[in-house]
This record gives sequence, C-alpha cells and structure tokens, in this order.
Amino acid sequence: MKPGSRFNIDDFLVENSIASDVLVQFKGTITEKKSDRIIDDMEVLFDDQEKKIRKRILIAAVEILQNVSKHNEFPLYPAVFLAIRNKQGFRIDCGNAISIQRRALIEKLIRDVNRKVAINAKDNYRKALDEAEFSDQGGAGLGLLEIRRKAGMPIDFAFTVIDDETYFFHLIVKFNMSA
Amino acid sequence: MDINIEASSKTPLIKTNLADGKVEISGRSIPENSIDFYKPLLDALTHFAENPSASAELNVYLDYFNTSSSKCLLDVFKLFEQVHAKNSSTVIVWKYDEDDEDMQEAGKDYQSILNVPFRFEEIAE
Repeated sequence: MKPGSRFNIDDFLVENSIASDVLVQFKGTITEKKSDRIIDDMEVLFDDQEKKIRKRILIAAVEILQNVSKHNEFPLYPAVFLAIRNKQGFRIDCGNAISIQRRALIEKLIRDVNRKVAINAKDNYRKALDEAEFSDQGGAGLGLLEIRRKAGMPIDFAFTVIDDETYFFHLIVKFNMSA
Repeated sequence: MDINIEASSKTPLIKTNLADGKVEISGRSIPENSIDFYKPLLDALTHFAENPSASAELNVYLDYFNTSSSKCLLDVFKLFEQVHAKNSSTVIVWKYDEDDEDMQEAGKDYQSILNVPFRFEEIAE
C-alpha cells in the first residue's frame, strides 16, 4: 500500500497472492457457516504426500477463522481469508478491521505467543491447556498458541490505517514445510 | 442414561455404554462453541463418576480438533480422573493414525497433566 493511499481490500488480495497459487480466497463477513465452507474447500486441496502439513494447515485455518467469527468488532467491514501455495510453501493471510484501542492488545498477544513457543513450546502449551478457561463465546484462549505451534514458525502481522478509529489487522501465518 | 450422537462434518461420534464403563469419541471436533456439544457427555460422566463401574475405558480417535474442543476434552478426561481415583480399573485409549506424530503428541500433552492411565494405539492405514 502506498503512503497516503486509502486502504483497498482488493489491492490487498492482489498484493498478497502475487507469484502464488491461490488455493482459497474469501472476502466478506466471516460467519460460522462461511468458515465451515472454507474449511470444506481446503480439506480437498492436499494430496497423499502432504498428509502431515494438511492437518496443521487445517487446524490453523479453523482457529484463524473461528477467531474472526467470534471476535470481529466490525462484521460489516469485509474480512479476508487467503490460503496460498508458493515457492516457499504454504501461507495463510487473514485480515479484518479492528478498533485502534485493540491494536496494542493484539500485538502483545502475538508477541507473547511467539516468545513462549520459542522458549519452550511443549511446556508452555501444556500449562496453558491445564489453566484454560472458557470465554463467553466458548473459546478456550488457546487459539493463537495453537496457530503458532501448527505453523512451526513465528506468526507475523501488520496493521494498516483505514480511518481515524480503525486499523486493518493482517495476520500472516507461514508454515514450516520441513517440520 | 447412555449417549449416542452420530458424527457430523464438525463434531465427533459420541457413544457410551456406561453399564460397562465404555465411552467412545471419534471423528473430527471443530465446533465453534464446544460447550453445548460436550455438555450431555460431561453430565453423563459426572453422574457416572459418583458411582462408577468396576472398570472404565474411554476410547478417543480424532482426526483433528480445535482448541475449544481441547478444553472440553480435558474436562471429560478430568472426570475419568475422578473415576480412576475411586479405584475403578480405568484407562484412556488414545488412538492416532500411523505416522501422525502431532496427534500422538496431543495425547501425551493430556497424559502429562492428568493422573489417569493412558494407552496409546497407532492405527495402521
């Protein structure tokens, strides 16, 4: 996105799928039903040689989509979900609008998860699982940790200004093909 | 009262025969809110744990599950922990596909935080 440009979702989709095979692309309101359809579409994308990575990508995709479906502050602003395959491997990009107030929290959560997994993935996950409590939406607060574990690489992210009160939050999950 | 829930694209089969202490969970578990789905099983096992049969076996064979389910599964296993504490001959049989190290590891994660015997079975394709 050029400095001073208005954020454009269609440009975002094009920029993030350059030189890649687009496996799944979605733009709109991510609801539970639409998440189900995206996962069903992804289920058939992998061949026998990709069994291990298939499950990791599907689990991460489920957590990413359910996070947006449960926590999206602006469901009427289109969210995006993109699964691609390129020379480096598989990647999922997911984006949705968030309020400025939430940026710092989201950034902290992702940095914490990346740090905890880097220190000791197994013990930190087991501790989190044992201590997990349900939220009002039925989540267990383990989603980001699970996404990071399945990716096998640090989660990346970006925030782009939409207007004075809103950012577009872009989650980038690359999968370690050799893990 | 026994439970017999058929599997769907998002939820696993759940079957109980509590007179014999048998419980089965198999399939895929990715409901967005797993609390409602697992409640009947949790209620049944809570009742069972008050006066368990002489032996109890929980067979778990999942393709994959989301984190909401992982918490519910832990709650199910903790009820089996209570059964085990009453000296019932208890085991959780964790089944996973051949070469599925991630699912094997998921079982070991639960084993590490629970005080109930686990048996691991690798299922050949």
